[in-house]
Parts: sequence; structure tokens; C-alpha cells
Amino acid sequence: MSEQLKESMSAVFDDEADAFELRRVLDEAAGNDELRAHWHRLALIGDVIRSDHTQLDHGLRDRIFAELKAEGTLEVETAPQLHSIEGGSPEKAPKNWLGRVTGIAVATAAAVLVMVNGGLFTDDSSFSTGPDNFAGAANNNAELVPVMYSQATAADQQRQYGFILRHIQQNAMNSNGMTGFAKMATFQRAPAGAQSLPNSSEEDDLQTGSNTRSNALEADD
Amino acid sequence: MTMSWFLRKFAWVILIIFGYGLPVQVGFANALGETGKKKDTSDISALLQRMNDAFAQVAYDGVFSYFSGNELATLRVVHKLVDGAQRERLVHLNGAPREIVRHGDEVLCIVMPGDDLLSLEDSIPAGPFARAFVREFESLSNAYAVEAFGEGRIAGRQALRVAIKPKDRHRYGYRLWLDKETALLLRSELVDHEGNRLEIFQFASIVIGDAVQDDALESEDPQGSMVSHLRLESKTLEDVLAQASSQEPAADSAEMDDGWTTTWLPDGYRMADADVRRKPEHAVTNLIYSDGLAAFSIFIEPMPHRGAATMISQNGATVALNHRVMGGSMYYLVTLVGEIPVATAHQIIESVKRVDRPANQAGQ
Repeated sequence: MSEQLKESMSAVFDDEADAFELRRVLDEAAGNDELRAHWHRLALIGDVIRSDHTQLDHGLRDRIFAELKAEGTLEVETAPQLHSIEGGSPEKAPKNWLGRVTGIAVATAAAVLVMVNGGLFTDDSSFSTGPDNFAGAANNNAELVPVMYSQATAADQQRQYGFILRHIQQNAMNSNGMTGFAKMATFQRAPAGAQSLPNSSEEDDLQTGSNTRSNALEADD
Repeated sequence: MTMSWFLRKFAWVILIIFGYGLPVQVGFANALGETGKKKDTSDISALLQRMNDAFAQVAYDGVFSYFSGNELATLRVVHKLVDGAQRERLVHLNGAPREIVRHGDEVLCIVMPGDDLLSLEDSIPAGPFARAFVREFESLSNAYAVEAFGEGRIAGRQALRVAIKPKDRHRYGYRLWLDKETALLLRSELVDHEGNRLEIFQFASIVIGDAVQDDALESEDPQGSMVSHLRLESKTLEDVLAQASSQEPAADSAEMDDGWTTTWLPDGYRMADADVRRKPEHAVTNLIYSDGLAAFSIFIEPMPHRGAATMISQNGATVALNHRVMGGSMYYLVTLVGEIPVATAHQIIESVKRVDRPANQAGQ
């Protein structure tokens, strides 16, 4: 992995990358394990700095903190908070289905969201996914899932909304029965503040400000 | 009505158990009303078969809670056979009025103007999942195990509990509570690998049998409401079985349609169907996969003119994410929606590739 690419990725995490650089990093990351590993590390560092990863083992967090302090990385400025599109509490994501999408929309050049499943730090015995309480037989390690959000627009959200609804309908009509129709009957696109989305221009960013993590998904951590 | 679809789904579980020997661990007493006696596989199979029968034949009128993600909804469901035809009515009891009514194969969504459900497609490709299930007999038995785990009490009724357990981390599990007397599903949970309940369906109250009144099936037809008609191509179990005997299973897990393929799928998942929807601006390819219980959909479209953000959202068990992929000389936007773990969804969507085929083979 070239230093230039590393710098580009760091720029993405620092919210300093332009759209072209963001696309380049995304493209490269798709087929480059080394780059993805670097991504994971940057994401982890960002998480630790913000201390907003609820499942992070405290011992591991402390060790990372110690390393970061030694490196001086902790001088990095804390990321700005998330601002929901309807102007609500910056730390509170909409509860509605797809409100999560709207809540993570980002208008600036780049922002990063890191979802961490329970098995992220499987090399750390103190943070183990443990035995599968339900399935029992599962052995595969869960993995860190880096997801990048950039320039989410009303059109982006509308597009995803349509696909989700179609999937739910297909499930309900074909196989999922009671719960499928319950899901369909309770489906909601977005909070009231976002109901005007269909009329928004594709160029209309839904948010302003710089966001580096979606609180909407913290509940899933 | 909706129960009958659930029936259709779990009918395959029954078939797997009967015909393909889905591993069943039995340890509960009284699966079929006998106390203190260990049951064998056929007992659970019989219990689930009774559940299927109950979905279709039992009259019930109940109120249930449905929890998904952060949302809790309360709905009323009424089901009854009237003149030999199944009729069902599902009413959302909170917020703006919403009803889903089925009379035979006709499904109506009765909603207020502006409701999201008015944007539903008016038809669904005929029986895609049915074809999928045909292919999934073998994979389902490899993907899940069934285990009975005692009894419980739901909505004031004694229930027998059954767990459907995934064997890997690429799908979720289910816990079912079946009415001891009628085998009707009283509660279900969709559970992740840490034991977290992602979705819960549970009756709070239910009336079963002759006490269910016909007029309870009639929509309240709220003033000013609008009706969205949905077309369902109904298939009986016999129809599906007939199709199963006439179709060969796919050669491998990475199947292809319309020039697109997934180069990686979790064990047990097979393509259920694929179609291309022509929109005014462009075509959208829709690939549907299922392991017999869980399902996910992949949508592929040309990259929007101004690009698109990479996004992910999750509510309950349903995850939606997208990914950009190069196909030929242009970019496409791939969106995956399904009730599967996020990590699995991520792996799958990254494996979506366009396959170049000779023109005379396209569409075959």
C-alpha cells in the first residue's frame, strides 16, 4: 500500500478528503486487504479517541489509549457531533425505520461510520463473543465492518427506502407471513421532518456539518 | 391470511424434517399433549405440521405486539375460513389507520393519503420464493437445527417452545411458542448469535374458535382512506412440490441472472428468483436469495448520474446497504436488503460481479 494511499485514507478519516479522493480510497479498499486492515485500525483509533464504542473492552481500550498517548495521537481533535436532518438533538438519531438512514446522512466530503460486531476483538480473550447462546454451532468470527458515508442526498435515501420497502413486500407476499406483514404494516419511512424528501433535489444535501460516526447505529453495537 | 403465508414458509421446515432429516434435538415433555415422555423427531414434525394446519384452518382474533429494532407496534389480526376461503385482516392499532386485508388471493392495503404503503408494487413476481425453496431443501437442513425447549405461557395459553437454530453466523435463529391445544403460533422471536432478540411477535390476547365473528373481518374503512391493491399469485404446497419435481437445482451457490452474480454466498443460500424492473430512467435488476427461512434481495442499477452515497441502515433484523461495482465500462450501484447479519451482508454485496455473456445467451 502506497504512502499516498495511506495519506488519502487518513484524509478521509480526518474529513479532509474531497469527493475524488474518497472515491479513490473506496475503490482501492474494495480489493485491497492491506488497505482494509489499515482502515480498520484507523477506525478503531477513531473509536477509542471518541470513547464512543460501547462494546470495547475496557482493558483493551486502556492499552490502546496508552499507545495513542505515547504516539501523541490523542491530540487529534474530537470529531464533531452528528446532526440529524430534522435539526433535532445532535446525539439522538431518529427512531423511525429509515430514520437511521437519514440520521447518518452526511453532507461533507467524507465521513466514516464503523459498525463493530461482538466479535471484533476476537484475539482478546476478555472480549469474546462467547459461545453462541442460541445457535451453538457457529464458529466464524464476526468482523469489523467499515462503512463510509459520503454526500448522502434525498435521492440516496429515497432510493434505499424504495428497495427496503420492496424487499419487505416481497417477503410478506411470498414467505414471511405474519411477521412479514407486520413489518409491512408498521413500515415507516422517516420522521415527519423528512417527509419532504421526495421533493428534494438530488443535489440537496440533507445535512451540514462534519460527522464521523452514526449514533443511530450505536444501539446495534 | 398472513398466517397462511407464515404457514407456507414453515411448511418447508416440516418437509425438511420429514424428508431430509433436519437434525432435531428433543428434550421437552409433552410435545403432543403427553406429559413426562421424551419425544422423538416425528413428534416435533407433527407439532410443526399442526402449526401449519392451524395457520390455515383455525379461526382466531387476537391482538399482538410486534417489536422490531426500536419500534414497538400493536396490531390486531383476524383469521377465519369463510365459505372455504381464507380471510384475514391485519389492523395497525397505533398511529395513522392502516389495514391489510386478504380475501382469497386479493390483498388490499387500506391507508390514509400519503401513506408509504401506497407506493408498494402492485404485483410481485409469481412465486419466486417457491422456486427458491425447491432448491433449498438440502441447504436448509444443513443451515438450521430444530430443538424443542420446554413450555411457556403466552396470552394466557399454554405453549410449547421450539427453537430453529442456525449452524453458522450467516443467518439468525428463531424461537417459536406454539399453542398447546391448537399449535397456533403465539409468539416468535428472531434472535442473533448473542441471543439478542431482534424481532418479537407475540399475542397479548387471542380468541380462538367459534367465538370469532365474521364481521370482525370487515374493514373499518376509515373516512378518507385509500386502497392499494396488491396481487398475490397464490401457490399451494402441491403447486410448489410439483415445481420442485420439475426443476433441477442450481449447479452451485453463485448463480447468475441478467449478467450479474454473487461470487460468494453463505452455505445454504440459493437464488430464489431474479427479474428486471424497467423504470422510466433505467432498469433495476433484482436478485432474491433465500436459505429457506431467511431472505435477502439484491438490487442493481446503473450508477445514478450524480453518484450515490454509500449507506447502511439497520432496523431489527433488516439491514440495507449499498456498494459501487464496476461492470463493463460503467459503474453500477448495488443495494442489498435482507434479514441477515451485517457482516454477512457486507461480504455478499462485495462479491456481486457482472458476468459478461455472449449476447445470444443473455436472458436464458
